[in-house]
Amino acid sequence: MVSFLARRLGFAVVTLFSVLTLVFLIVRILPGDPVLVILGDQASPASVIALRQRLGLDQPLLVQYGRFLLQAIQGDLGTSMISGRPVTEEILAVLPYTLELTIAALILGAALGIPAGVWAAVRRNRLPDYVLRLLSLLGLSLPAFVAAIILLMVFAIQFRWFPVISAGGADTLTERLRQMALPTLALALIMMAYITRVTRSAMLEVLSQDFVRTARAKGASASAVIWSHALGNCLIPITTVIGLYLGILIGNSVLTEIVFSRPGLGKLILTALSQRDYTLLQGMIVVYTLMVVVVNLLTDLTYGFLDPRVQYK
Amino acid sequence: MVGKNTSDKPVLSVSGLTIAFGSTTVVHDLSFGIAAGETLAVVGESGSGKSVTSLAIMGLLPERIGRASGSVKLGDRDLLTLDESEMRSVRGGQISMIFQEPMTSLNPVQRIGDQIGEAIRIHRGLKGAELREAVLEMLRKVRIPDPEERIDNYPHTFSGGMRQRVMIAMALACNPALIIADEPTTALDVTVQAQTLALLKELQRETGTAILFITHDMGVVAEIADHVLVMRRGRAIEQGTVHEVFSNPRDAYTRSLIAAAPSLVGKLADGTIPARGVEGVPLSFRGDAPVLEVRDLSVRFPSRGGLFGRLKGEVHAVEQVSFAIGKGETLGLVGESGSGKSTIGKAIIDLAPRHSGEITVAGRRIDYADPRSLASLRRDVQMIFQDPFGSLDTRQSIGSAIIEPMQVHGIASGKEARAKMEWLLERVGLDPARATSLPHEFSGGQRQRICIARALAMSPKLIIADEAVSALDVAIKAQIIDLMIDLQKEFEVSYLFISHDMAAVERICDRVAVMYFGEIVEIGARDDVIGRPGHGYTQRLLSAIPITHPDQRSARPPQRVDATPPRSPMKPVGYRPPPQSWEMMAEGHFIRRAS
Repeated sequence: MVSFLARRLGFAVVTLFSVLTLVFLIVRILPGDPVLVILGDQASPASVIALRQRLGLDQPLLVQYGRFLLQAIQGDLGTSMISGRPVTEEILAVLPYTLELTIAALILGAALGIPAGVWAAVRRNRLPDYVLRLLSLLGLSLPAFVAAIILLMVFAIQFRWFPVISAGGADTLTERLRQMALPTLALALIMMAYITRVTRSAMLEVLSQDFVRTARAKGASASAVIWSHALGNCLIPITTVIGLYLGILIGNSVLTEIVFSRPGLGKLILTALSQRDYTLLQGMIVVYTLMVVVVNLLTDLTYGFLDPRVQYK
Repeated sequence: MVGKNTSDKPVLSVSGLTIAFGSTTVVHDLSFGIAAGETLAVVGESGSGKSVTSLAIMGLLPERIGRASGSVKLGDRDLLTLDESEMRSVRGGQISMIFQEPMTSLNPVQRIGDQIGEAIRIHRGLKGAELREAVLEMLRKVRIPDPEERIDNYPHTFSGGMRQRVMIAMALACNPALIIADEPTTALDVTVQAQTLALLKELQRETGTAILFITHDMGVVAEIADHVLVMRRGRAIEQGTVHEVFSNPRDAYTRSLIAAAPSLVGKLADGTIPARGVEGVPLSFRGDAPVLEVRDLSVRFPSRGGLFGRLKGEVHAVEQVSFAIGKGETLGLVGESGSGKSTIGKAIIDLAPRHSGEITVAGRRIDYADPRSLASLRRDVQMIFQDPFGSLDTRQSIGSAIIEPMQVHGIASGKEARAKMEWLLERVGLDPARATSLPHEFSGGQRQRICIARALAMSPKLIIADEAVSALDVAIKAQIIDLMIDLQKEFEVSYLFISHDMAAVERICDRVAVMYFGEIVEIGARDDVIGRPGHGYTQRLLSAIPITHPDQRSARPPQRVDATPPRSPMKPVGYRPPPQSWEMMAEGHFIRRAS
């Protein structure tokens, strides 16, 4: 277990290091001089040179790279070229919004998707199964922002149950939850669609296994067979899917945040892109990578809790 | 018919049971009875309706598809009239089941204590410490070593035999009136089977439960049954006491089942033959020159662990194995699962890593590093595998499956290859017109014929048959073995016949080698090895094989129900096993001398 963790952390370090290098290079290959972006076309040559010096862009590439790595290790991802604030600070200011949205969507999606998948499997080739399969297909094919816009139009504009703009200004918990409700739902529906489908297929496979027959032969009730014996054996594929789609969920949150005018990583990355804020951009890519690496590691560790046969070597 | 030869009222009486799936009737008008403390063996091949019958008794037929009519009386209650919740109290309480596959019949993510406890909780209402104590008692009853510790273990930490004991504990936990055992020992090694049967018999004596024992193996029937019911195609074709059925079988089908049991085994000669020590390795064979010679073959698999996958040890799967096979000769390689017999076959054709050893085919030593040498090896040596379903490409017509290797090796192509393929299909008893059919259109036995034809397409000198008939029903198995014997005469091909099935080995093999923990412990002519086994392990293996007639029950030594942990084949890196020495029992009959 310890050596497994050590090895996986080693891989994580290598992954992050590669991403840092790649990001550093890409930003320097991209067309457009950041100094001109900041100062505009009319800037005097003297001020261009001065800024270039201040940003360290006059140094040789290797020196820049070394400095970049050293700072990144210390958690310093540089300062934003536009706002002048530290990138780490900018990201940390909006990260909680994205995390709370993603986690809430994940929990809601799993809470709805797992029972729906189980139900579809138990009622295989009957009406509930057909309906759930159709709905989950719809969920998979509907882009996140379309679902978001539909929700917005129906529940915020037509019925006025929830606010149209979900940004800030929430003093009470109820208010905050009201603001979160629609964006969470928009993301959770997609998550639910994935989880329903994988739960259904995993359950169908498990329900035909010998040990399910053994459980029934013991006299166990139908609900004990389904929820205790069968579902316990489905959790590995379900966890795998959750782990895989958590990355997609974070990606989807970009569009959702824009539709609902919510602060978060999505909005931030859009701003950084449109303003050619290279340092902010490279910082955000690093943070995204970090999140994916952590999610993968957590998924692997969860397997061990779910299945006694999993050994960490 | 009901409860023959017993004055007691039957525990279970089935009459006029008819089972249908949709519009197909799979069991017709079946009637039988079982008295307390009695064992009824239901015998038949796959598809005969024996397992379906047990599921119907349990009320576990597939929902909405399976229908059962007639009556299944447990005491005075007709189980077919009970609703699901009433049936649940019967299942596991009054009737419990033991299934065939110990590897898949237990829930892999639940502790075995919880799985046994579930039945006790449902039917006896015990909880907490009381429940745990009841589970421990059951574990002790089925002789699981260290029950206090094992109760909290998961199924994957148990061997097949131990898992089947867990299943038995589960089945006996609520003192059922009847246990239905569906092929409970079929997946087990023969020595483990003998122990499991002994345990079941002993527990039956203690508890007086009735057992409905479903099997395809007449040897097992001879061991344990009081009454026998032979089923074929959903009908009972013969019924009677075990002595009646074995001594005076009325139906030809029953006679063929009884005849399929190994006949040499169990007729062990008395006394031991004085042995002479010999030098060297036992490389005798029949004929002038060996087709295959294996010298000092060892196969080791690395076992890695730790942070950087450091080599922790090596699994000695095959250790210093030497043997030879003559032209047109069949050598049987027998042993229990994990003994390394399949690994030898794989190592010969380069599917397993050889640690050391020399392999010579038709006088030419194989150089595995030389592509030309390998190509000729792959032409001269062909394989037939156990699973006829998995060893054919599901999307390739059987004709092209047979033609493909001929083209690959440039033996024949175009019209010539097609003609040879059609001729081969005819030789193995299939209609050449079906050459364009896909594998799923054939039965298991037919697919094995296709695999044989594919192997013969290369005009090989040697065919390695790895459990080639083990997955087949008794009657089909006999047909395939006869086909292999006929083809051997016609093509003068040699076989390395790897099997755990002594009846098959006895029928097809000229010589037999016995494997134990990666080593050959005894090798010699079939009649010598089976009739006068010299090595202790061979004797143990042969005495575990079920008897062929119930009259022999008293004659055989009692089976110990013990729990010796298996010897570990894992050795430290660089371990050098002691050199082997052999004793000659008779011409060509060698046993390993204890080191």
